Amino acid sequence: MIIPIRCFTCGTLIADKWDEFKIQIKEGEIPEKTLDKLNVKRWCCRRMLVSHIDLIEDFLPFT
Amino acid sequence: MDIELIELFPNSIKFILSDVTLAFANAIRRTALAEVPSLTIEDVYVLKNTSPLFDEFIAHRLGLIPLKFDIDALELNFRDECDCGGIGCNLCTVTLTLSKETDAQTSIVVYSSDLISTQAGVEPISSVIPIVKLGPNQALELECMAQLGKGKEHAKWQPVSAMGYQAFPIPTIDKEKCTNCLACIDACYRGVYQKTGDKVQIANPLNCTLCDYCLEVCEPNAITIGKDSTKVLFSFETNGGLDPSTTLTKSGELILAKIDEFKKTLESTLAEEKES
Ligand code: SF4
Ligand code: SF4
Ligand SMILES: [Zn+2]
Ligand SMILES: [Zn+2]
Repeated sequence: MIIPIRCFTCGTLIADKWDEFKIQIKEGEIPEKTLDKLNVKRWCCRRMLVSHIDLIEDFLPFT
Repeated sequence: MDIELIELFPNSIKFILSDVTLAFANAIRRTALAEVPSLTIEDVYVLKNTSPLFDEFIAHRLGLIPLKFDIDALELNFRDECDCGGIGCNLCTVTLTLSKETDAQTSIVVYSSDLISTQAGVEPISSVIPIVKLGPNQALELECMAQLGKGKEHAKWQPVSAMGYQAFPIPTIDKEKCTNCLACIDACYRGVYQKTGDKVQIANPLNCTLCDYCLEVCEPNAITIGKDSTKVLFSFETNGGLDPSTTLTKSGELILAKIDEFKKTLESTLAEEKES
């Protein structure tokens, strides 16, 4: 849907890193490196960004 | 008791606490998680919402946004202890408003920076947290009430995350037995071992999590993972509202206040017992 504000497991704020993450991935950066640069350390928080799909973009035309 | 700082950043800390038991470290951990107050949005009045997300969805997202505040300067009351009796007044509540509209062509993302606080010093910890996306001809108008709360009521009030401690690790390699097969370097996911020259050496002993996996791969049993239970390796991150040192000081104060209360109750009970 839309990037969750905090990590489901540990509760760290992750939503503020989403825009930067998206930009860097579009520029061809490797996700692993980008996450390191954004200081996302734990696996639980890393999967929040890596596995997210912004579905809100898809159904915006239907609202 | 002795504290040795390993690292201190604005929102994370790692230190060694010596001459304490693990139980003591746990008392600090539990107090910081469940008792140290922080400020987040609790009530949301939705005046207008034609966005793709439901009111509840947006309210939930707003609640999870950590707010920056100065716990000593702000002097907020807990709402249920406030003179207003829990209705909400400016002694216990900080109001934030949000109002955003799109025209027929554009679609925009509503960010946390669009939340306007009525109290100086209170604002979202980051300005780029997406709240919702608005399509053409949509509007969002909200009034949010932030209040102090504790982690034991709801996890959104926890000022810290990933707070943990462990016994002090002492990994050692028996140089006589070691065959330099390098198996431990690959096995340890924390990068404790490193090759220097043609010998395997312990490069980052503090990274060891006592998982004992390297013992399994070491054929000649050259490795021993010892631990010192009188020393505690403590680390955590804060979610922004409070910095790590304030969080620790506050949890210390709260433990002391509880012990004081215990002492007073005990004394008065004993005094009553004597009278009767
Ligand atoms: S016990 Fe685990 S963390 Fe510690 S050195 Fe061995 S493999 Fe690494
Ligand atoms: S696995 Fe054991 S024998 Fe092999 S390099 Fe490591 S300590 Fe030495
Ligand atoms: Zn996490
Ligand atoms: Zn009040």
